[in-house]
Amino acid sequence: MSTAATADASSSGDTTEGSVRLLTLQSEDGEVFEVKETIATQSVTIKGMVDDDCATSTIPVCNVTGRTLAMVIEWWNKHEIGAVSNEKELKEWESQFDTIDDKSDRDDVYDLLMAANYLNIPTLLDCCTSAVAEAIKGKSTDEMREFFDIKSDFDEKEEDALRKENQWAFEN
Amino acid sequence: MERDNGETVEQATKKGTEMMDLPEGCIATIISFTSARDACRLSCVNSLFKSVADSNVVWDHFCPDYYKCLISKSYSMKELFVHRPPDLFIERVNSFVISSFVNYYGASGSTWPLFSKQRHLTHNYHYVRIYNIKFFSSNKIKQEVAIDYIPIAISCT
Repeated sequence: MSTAATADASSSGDTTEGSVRLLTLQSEDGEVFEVKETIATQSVTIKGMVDDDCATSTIPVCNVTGRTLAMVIEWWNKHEIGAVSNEKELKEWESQFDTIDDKSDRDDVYDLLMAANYLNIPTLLDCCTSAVAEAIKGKSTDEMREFFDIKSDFDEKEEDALRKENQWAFEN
Repeated sequence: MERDNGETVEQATKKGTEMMDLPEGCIATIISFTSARDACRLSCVNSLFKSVADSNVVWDHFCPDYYKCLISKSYSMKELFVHRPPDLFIERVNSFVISSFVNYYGASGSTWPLFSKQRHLTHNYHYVRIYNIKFFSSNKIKQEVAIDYIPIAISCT
């Protein structure tokens, strides 16, 4: 399926194609996408702008890169009513987002989470949050730190106290 | 996007979103999709995770509904879940709790929690089983689902 987004839209502002209005979205790094209004309004944020008549010129999507925005638009296209014939096919397609196999998958999911949070896209937000949750389930605290790539900011004493406080979670 | 100097531009392009950049609401949702034990281990990861993983927003997902009737100023939902402080249950278990249960569940119309008459005597507490009884209006069959035990001090009963 070809994507409805075109990266090199020359005009800014809304245009119409047939009876469907097109919205122009601009990513943080300046990439421009034209998206059908019916698709883009899966974002609660954009829907609000359309309802308030604020979506007449280019809509800047802060904190979201072109690469991520393209993935978001692909998500919208798949989730448009009638785009995918059955639930099973959609779930299969979604499975590429809801499993985290390596660091690049993980970073993509973080980017998508930021975008889904900013644009308020409940379906995408749900999918990405549960993907991260699945990935950390059953991991030890050290494995969790490694997965998130973060260091502890507790000193040894504090950490001991915390482990004691949460002891039942460390017992097998 | 213009930035102060070349170094920050390079840094910004090199590094994408990190876990710690995510809004707290997102992190809370992620944690609430795991389990109570995972949440406890997550609270030891670092201080940001601790503040989110210990919050009532997260523990609300792990606690049975009726814990909402028991929220007090002295205990967080995590403490209620993990330590089940008996004094809280003793303090509140009398008419107040029963009427709260009825009010809480009664509002939804179809489910009523009841204390069963069956009691277990262990140490200094009676453990009273709470049932969630669902009435199916179509065939009038009732299904009893035991949802929890509540400790009540002997002197209170």
